[in-house]
Amino acid sequence: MKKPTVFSVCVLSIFLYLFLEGCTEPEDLVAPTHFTRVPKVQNLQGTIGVTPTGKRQLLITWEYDTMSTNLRSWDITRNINDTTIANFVPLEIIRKPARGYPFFSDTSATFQSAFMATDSLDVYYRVIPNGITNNFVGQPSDVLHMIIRRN
Amino acid sequence: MRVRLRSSLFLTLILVLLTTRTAPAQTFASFQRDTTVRLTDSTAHRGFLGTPWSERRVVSTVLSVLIPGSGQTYLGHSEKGAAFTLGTIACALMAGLSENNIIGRNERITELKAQYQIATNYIGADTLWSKMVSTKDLLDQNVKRRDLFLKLTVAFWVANVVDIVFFSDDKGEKPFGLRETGRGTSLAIVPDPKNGVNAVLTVRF
Repeated sequence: MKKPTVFSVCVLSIFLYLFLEGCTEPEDLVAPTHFTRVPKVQNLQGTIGVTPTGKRQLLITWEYDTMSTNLRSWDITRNINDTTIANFVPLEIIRKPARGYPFFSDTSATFQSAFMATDSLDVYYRVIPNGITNNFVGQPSDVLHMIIRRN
Repeated sequence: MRVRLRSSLFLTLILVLLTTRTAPAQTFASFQRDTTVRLTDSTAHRGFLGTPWSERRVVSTVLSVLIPGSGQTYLGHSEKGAAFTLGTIACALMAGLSENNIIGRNERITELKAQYQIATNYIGADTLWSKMVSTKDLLDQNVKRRDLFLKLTVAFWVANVVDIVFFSDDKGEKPFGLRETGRGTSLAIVPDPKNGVNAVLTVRF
């Protein structure tokens, strides 16, 4: 009667081994890097003014983490009377300044009172940072809303 | 979780080995009642490891260790045996399905990780990250389910072994199908030394 006992213990051991080693370990997630790969656009602000030549000027300014080196430029996108993200039109590429914070000046003819078909215009801006490593396009800024009224 | 499962399984193994060794002394009383076996089983006098276990009990224990519930069925406890077998198989099946899901979701996460590493823009990377997080949530649920059903399977198996050792008396050797004495029709497969196997159809009024 020893043989069945030894046999059952062997089978039991194999059974337990399969139970333990057959279990797959769950994969762990990688640390999220996309939030910080390229510095975010911070404190996006806009002011409406007039140039020395008398043209209406929209001045967009923003800040960024100057300690981060993975930053090449920003794409300025604009939308007029429309908030659909897909309809934002790229306007210009602003290179990272050697010192100080970047800005963008918009003096389009659309904003001049002489060319405005309506009493006011809703202008929306979005700034998108571009990294150096892998040309990674960073997190777009919040939408900046500005209202222009005809004089 | 893995360490706890491992330690619980080791405890189970020790319990089973201990019960296998201590059982004969405890089941001696039931052996006294087991007249059918004592009369028909020539090995009963030799015993199992120097104890008065009959060969049928040893066979039933081995059967139950290998396939939960089969030993109970072998000793005549058909319903209990079926319950143990179905319970263990159902739990093991659920554990297996969850394990299969874990493998699939692991592969999915590996694939998403590779795509995430080479993503060239924030929006794409963020979409991949959201998918990874949701897949990880499902994966964790699958791991919990698998561990639960693994424990249930082990619990069924341990209960089955304890039951066959301590609580299952031998109802005697009877051909399959002739055990029930109530009204109805039954089909029995009866071993025949001359012809091999006979099929017996019984109708009771």
